[in-house]
Amino acid sequence: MSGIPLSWWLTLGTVLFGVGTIGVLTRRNALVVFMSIELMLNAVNLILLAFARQRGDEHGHVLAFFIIAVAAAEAAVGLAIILSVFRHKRSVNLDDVRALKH
Amino acid sequence: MAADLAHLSPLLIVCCVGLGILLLDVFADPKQPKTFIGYVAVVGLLVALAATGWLFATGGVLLTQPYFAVALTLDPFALFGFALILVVAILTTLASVHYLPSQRCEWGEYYSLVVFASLGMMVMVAAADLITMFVGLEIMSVAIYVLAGFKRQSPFAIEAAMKYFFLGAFATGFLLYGLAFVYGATGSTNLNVVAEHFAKNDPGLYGIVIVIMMIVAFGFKIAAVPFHMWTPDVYEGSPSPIAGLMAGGVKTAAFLALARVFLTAFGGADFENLAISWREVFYWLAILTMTVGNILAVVQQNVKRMLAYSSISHAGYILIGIVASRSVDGGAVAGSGLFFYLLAYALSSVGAFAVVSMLGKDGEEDITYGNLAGFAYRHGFAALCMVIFMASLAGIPPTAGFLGKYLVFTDALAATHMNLLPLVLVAVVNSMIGVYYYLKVIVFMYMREPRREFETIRSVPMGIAFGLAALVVVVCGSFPDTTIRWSAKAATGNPSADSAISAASVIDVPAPVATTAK
Repeated sequence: MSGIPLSWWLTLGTVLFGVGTIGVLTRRNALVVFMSIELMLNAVNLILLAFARQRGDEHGHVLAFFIIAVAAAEAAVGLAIILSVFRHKRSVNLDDVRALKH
Repeated sequence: MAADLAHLSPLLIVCCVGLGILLLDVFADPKQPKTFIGYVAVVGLLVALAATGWLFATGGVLLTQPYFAVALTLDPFALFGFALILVVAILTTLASVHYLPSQRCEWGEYYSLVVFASLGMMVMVAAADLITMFVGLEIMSVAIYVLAGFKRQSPFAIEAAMKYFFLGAFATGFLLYGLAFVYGATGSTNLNVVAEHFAKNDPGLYGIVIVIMMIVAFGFKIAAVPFHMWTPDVYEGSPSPIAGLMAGGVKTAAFLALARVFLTAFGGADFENLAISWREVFYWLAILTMTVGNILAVVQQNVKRMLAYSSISHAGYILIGIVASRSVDGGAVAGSGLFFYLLAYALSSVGAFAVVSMLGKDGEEDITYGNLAGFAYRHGFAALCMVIFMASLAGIPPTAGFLGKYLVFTDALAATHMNLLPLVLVAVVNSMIGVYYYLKVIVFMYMREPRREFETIRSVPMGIAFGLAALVVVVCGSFPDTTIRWSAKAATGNPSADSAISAASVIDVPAPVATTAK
């Protein structure tokens, strides 16, 4: 941290978050979309830790741990859902999953 | 300490019931039906409801242990939310016990997932800290992702689960990004501490980032236009009782959490003066949500999709209640109409989905208007209840939905901080559009000959579920005094605000910036 100003960390975190957001919006492969969401969460962790370092307290670290734990729980459920999509469609392409329509 | 545990009993009971019935399912005879697990869940939730009633009667309690007090607040606001969520969960469970075998997905963990989802919702509405709220949100969401795809042999259910999961997780990302900047700006995530900090300091650029991110995140959860795309697909593909839980429970919890976060933490005057004021944004979102939801509901052929779009348009009406609410002394929610409306809306939609649950058989669900033809001749009671729910959702007296709309609109007209007359006019026009598609359901049920023989589920608990919901909707609409008093009590704000701040300062003593690690 020493030497690297906060704004750099925030910029890096925001760029990673943006990459994740664009990935979710543009990619069609369910696994890649899921990875993009994980990227967004980890970008947030980076921002939190940068803030925690700057402030010199541990609240941000605690929050980051919560996010990591929750992301793990989400990954368990999300991968199970992707797996059952694959069982039905033999594909994890989001464009193939559109039985529900107006 | 012991007193705190007694005061936390609604949450603790629900948690223990969830764990208990999970174990019950493990040791139960796998060949026997799982119906009894559902009844155990109902009894457990009723006990939690009784505990909530006891706390509500005492007017909310203060948690004394600092570590509890910074995380949770048990004010009437939260307790009203607890009661509503528990009632919705009970009705959902009752509607499910005979629905699950008919859809060939009777696995016992269904009930514990419903209970855990309710626990998450309760934690959300009681959260005094953004971390607690986030954890509650995730307890709820992860359970609901699984429940949405519970009918795993059906491609529709799996698609619903996947859409809900991706958009839910995506929204969580935005929530966390906003949360990180709340922490960065204030050094805390406790709502009262955040409010105090922003009362003294200009939110500035961080404030704008926080407001945008939080609005996007909550917009997905409450299904406000333009963040609503997932709703019809998810409601259509999910098991019908779970669609009721999403419309009645998840949305209630999300709205109450939204009200608490924005009115407590971002309720200060400085947030009004930002380049982007959240009140202005919600004003326009409310107009968009009501109008788009209503217009799309008119053209639907599938009753579940119609109900999904109707729930979107109701999110718009509820947003009026939020815009009209004013934070007083950093914490209070003025505008009891919001609470009454949430009650009317939650019970009407969970009841409507319980009636819709009757229309499934043999793992199939086909819920077009045509299938409702002649419904009233076969199921007079269910049809009558459906009429009550439709009337309530449309806002026709003497149902709770009418009074809810009336109270929200009067709150909005009485608001002094903003001219909300145009918003109310748009809402009134929208209510009239809504009458068309709600009446269409009634017309099909009573005035059309059945096109073909169709099988329905005949189930007493399901009947109890929509019968009870209909009774409450009518009673709250005809004799509203008690409910209005409860709503006003829930709106009187946050008795624990002061103690929470003092408790927070015990722990939170912000470390001076100078101690930054080298």
